[in-house]
Amino acid sequence: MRRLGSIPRGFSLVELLISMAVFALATASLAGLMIQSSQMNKAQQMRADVQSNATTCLALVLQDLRSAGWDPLNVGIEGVRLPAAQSDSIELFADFNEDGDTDDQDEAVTVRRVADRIEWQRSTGGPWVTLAEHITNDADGDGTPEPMFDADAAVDPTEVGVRITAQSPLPNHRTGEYMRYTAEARVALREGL
Amino acid sequence: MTAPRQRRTRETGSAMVMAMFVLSLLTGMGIALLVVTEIEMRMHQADLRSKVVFYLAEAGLEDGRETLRQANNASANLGSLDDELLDAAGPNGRIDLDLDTLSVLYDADGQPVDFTGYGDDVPVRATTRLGDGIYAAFLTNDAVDGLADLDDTNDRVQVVSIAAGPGRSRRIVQGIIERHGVPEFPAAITILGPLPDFDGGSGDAKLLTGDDCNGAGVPGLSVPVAGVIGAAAEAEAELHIAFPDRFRQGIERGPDTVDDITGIIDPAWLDCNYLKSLALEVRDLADVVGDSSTPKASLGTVADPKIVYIEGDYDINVDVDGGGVLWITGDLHATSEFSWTGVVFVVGTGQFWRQMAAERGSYSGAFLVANIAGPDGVMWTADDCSGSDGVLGNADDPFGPGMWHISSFNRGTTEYCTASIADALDLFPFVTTEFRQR
Repeated sequence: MRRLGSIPRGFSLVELLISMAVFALATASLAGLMIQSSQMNKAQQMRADVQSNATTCLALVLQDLRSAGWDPLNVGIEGVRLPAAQSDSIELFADFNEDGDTDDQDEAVTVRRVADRIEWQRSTGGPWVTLAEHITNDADGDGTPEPMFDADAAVDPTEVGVRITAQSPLPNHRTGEYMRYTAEARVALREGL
Repeated sequence: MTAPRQRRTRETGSAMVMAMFVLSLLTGMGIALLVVTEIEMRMHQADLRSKVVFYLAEAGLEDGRETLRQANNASANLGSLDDELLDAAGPNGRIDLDLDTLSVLYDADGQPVDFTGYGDDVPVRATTRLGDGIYAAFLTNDAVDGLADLDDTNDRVQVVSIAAGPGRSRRIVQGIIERHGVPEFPAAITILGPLPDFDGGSGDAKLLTGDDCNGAGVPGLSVPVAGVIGAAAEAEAELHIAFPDRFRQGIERGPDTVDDITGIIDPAWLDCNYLKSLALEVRDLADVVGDSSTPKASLGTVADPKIVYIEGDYDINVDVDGGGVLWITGDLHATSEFSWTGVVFVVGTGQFWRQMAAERGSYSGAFLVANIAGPDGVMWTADDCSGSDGVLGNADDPFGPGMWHISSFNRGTTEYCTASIADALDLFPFVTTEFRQR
């Protein structure tokens, strides 16, 4: 009776096959879910990184742009210099230490986009430092970058727009496309009377 | 009876394992999403806080600038900011503001409540709450005079604004504040455009002088009585000089006091778009914005000067002894005694004439006459700045002929006077000419 009674406690081959099939199906669907979730996470993280890259870079450029032309001793400092009204570089001048010139650190800042990065030079002749990478400035994805700076005039501008489009280093796993985020702002420049 | 219970127990265990596995997977996914979302949210909040506190500081600067303007306009020394600097210095009579010590005071909940670290200085704008933050604005002299110097020699000061917002965010901005200006007036009567109708009148008891305040102003400073554009305009204007001795500019007399000012006039005066934008600014700033029906009593006086902007024609048919800035976009026609201390812009149709009974009126300051209204004679229409032919983009742009014409025996004085000009322009607001974000 004990041996006979122990037989029902095991699984038949059919039971085993069915349970394995059910388990395999459940595992497969869960694995799919896990992969999808992981991809979503990566995409979210990528989006956050791209967004942070563009907005942080914009905030840094804006801070210098807003203060361009700071000329406490009224010696006639030119605040902003652009090669053209629409360009990928800008020179910003200010006399922060109130000595009547723009020769010191942070007083003559040049910002430029070179290939896929933005870099700046914090004083004339100083080293170029990378401010942001993976910058395409191709907001519409047509393969042609838009200018980073858009002023109302090349000479003595009164308003300058800054537009930075960052792109993810890798394409999105799910869509196969690169993620882009554009941060932009316009700054009205104060001008001497 | 025992065996079935054991089987049931095994089945329950397997389901539990599966459930735990699925649950842990879902929990993991949820946590991962939460982490990413939180990172994003924090990033947004930090960005928002930074923007909010910056705009708060900028609001403080603007508030301080406007408060300063109002204080100055209400003070006895309209043309000087010394009083305001003295007020800002506080009881110890010294400006103590130090950006390194200026800081924020928080309550027990971490909310900003006030600022400290500025000695006994009196903020030009005391701590003001706006939304979730606070700001205050302080006045110092500019660096040219010395930040702590109480003697403002150049009508140029600095306003420092500090703001504190949520999450202990803090921002300081600085602005150099100057009074809104206009380019220098190159003559007592400046008539822009071709072949002006200039007539100084036929009486011999008058005086038109380019000597500053008729010799009582800046020693040696003198400008042409009438400044016109181009040799032909000069020749045309000179034809209407009667009693040459009554037209004076230093040692010059008569026709020599009318000059072609092409080379010396500030180019802005020749820019039609500048004139139009200046008109709009004056209209925005004006104490009185009116039309032909505006009572003469509402114009400024010498004792109480005003900025007055009149859209369209205006007839001075009762005696007026006015002061300040007067801008007329239509014809200005005086048939009664009309005097003005300050600046008069007849910019629009650019036609001013004074007849008969107005012969005694006197002017001190400067006149600027420009016909930019186009052939329809109405400002703010499509043919503005198109000259006489109404076609934009050709050689006769942007001015039509202007008129400054006094008929008959006028016996008044028309003098260029920097003091009168300055008093009038002191009515203009302060503007932030330079800005620094710290």
